Amino acid sequence: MQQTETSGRWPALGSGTPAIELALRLTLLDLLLRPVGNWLLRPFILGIAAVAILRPGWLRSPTVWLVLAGLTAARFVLDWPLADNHAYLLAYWCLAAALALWSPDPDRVLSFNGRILIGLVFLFACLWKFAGSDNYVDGTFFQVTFLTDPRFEGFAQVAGGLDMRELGELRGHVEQHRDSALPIEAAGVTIPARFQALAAAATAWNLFINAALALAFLLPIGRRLHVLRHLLLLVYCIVTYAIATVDGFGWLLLAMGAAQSDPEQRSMRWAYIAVFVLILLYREIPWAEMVLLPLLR
Amino acid sequence: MSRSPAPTGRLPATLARWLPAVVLVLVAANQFRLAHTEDISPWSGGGFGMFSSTDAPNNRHLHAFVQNEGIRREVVIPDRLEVAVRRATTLPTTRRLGKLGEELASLESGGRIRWDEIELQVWALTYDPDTLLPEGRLVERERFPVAAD
Repeated sequence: MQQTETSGRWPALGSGTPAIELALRLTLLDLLLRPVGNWLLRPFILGIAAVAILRPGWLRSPTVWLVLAGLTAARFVLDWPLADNHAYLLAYWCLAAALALWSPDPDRVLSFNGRILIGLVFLFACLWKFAGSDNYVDGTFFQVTFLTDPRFEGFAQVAGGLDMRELGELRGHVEQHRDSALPIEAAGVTIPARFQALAAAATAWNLFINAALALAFLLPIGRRLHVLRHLLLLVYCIVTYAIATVDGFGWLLLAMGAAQSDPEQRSMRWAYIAVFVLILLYREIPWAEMVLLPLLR
Repeated sequence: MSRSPAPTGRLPATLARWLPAVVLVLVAANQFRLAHTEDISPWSGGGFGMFSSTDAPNNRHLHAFVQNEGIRREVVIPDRLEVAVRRATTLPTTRRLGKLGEELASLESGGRIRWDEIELQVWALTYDPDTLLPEGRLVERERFPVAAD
C-alpha cells in the first residue's frame, strides 16, 4: 500500500483528498481518547487503533477495520444488555469502514453508510422521545436529569439559576425512595420557574434537532442542500456536547459526518476537526464550575 | 494523493452499502420488542433510547424476599452481585431473575428456617410532572421455589 503524500502539510485535510482518510482517523482518535471494552478487549482495541493512526497501510486495511468491528461488537455482546448506544454504533461504523474498504468505491460507500447510520440513529432517537417515552415531551425528563445526573450539575447552576442549596434540596426531593406499599408524606418543594423553563427549552430544542437530523440525513436532498446536513450535525455537536459530556458518541458522529464531505469542501473538513477538538476541550475544562460560575458570582 | 490499490475479492455493492444499516435496524427493532415484552430499560439494548426517559438502568432497583408459610424476610443483596442485579433490573426476563433468585436463595440456605420460595421485585421510578415527586412502578415480580438444602 502506498504512503500518503505529505509535501510538508497535513495530507488528509487538503482539498482533493478522500473524505475517508479524515473519517477513519477521527474514528481512531475516538477509540484512543475514549477507550472502550473491558480489560480483555481494551488493550487490543487501543493497540490496533494506535498503529492504524500511524501507518497508512493499516488505516486503509479492511481486515484491520473488520477486527475492530469484531472487538467493539464483542464488547456489547459480552456486556448485554448493559452497553450504551455508543458501543453499538461504534461496531456498526467499524463494520461499515471494513466493507467500504473492500468495495470498489470506498469513499462513496463510507459516505453513504455515514449518512444512513446518522439518519437511523436520530430516527430511532425520535421514536423513543416522541412516542416511546412517557415523560420526555412534558419536560419531566430534563428536570429530573438536570437534578440527578452529576454531568449536568454545572449547567443546572449556570443556566437554571440554582445555587448548591437549592440543587441539593431538589435532588433530595426527586431521589426519595418511594416504592413502599404505605403512603409516605411528601415534603413540598417549589421548583423554580427559571429551572422549569430551562427544561422546557432543552426538550423543545432536542425534539427539533433530532427530527431535523433524521429528516436531513434520511431524505434524498439536492446536492446544494448537502451543506445543511453538515451544519445541522455540527450545531448539534457544538450545543449538545457542551452540556452532556458524552464525548465518545459526539466524536463518532463527527467521524461519520466527515465521511460525507466533498473533496472540495476543505473548510467543512476543518469545521469537523475544530468541533472534534472543541468536544475535547468541553471534556477537559470544567467550564461551568471553574469559568462561568465564578464569572456569574 | 495516491489511492491504495484496490483489494482483491470485492464484496457485492449492495451488501457493502446496506449491511451496517440493516444490522442497526434489526437490533433497534429487537430493542423495541424487548421494551414492550420484557420491559428492557429504554436506555439499553441498542435502540438509541438513551436520554429519552427517566427509566434508566441506574433508576431501577431490586427487592428480594424469602418466605415460607409464616415468615417473609427481605434479603440483603451483597455487593458482589451488583452486575448481576444490574443486568436483571435492566432486562428483567424470567430466566435472568430466576438465576439471580437462585444465587440469592443460596445465601439464605443452611439456616434454621427453611424457606419455600423467593420473590424478586424490579422497581422503576416515575415522577409527577408537576411536583417531580417520585413514585415506584413495579416493573416485574417473579416468585421461584427455593430448592431444599
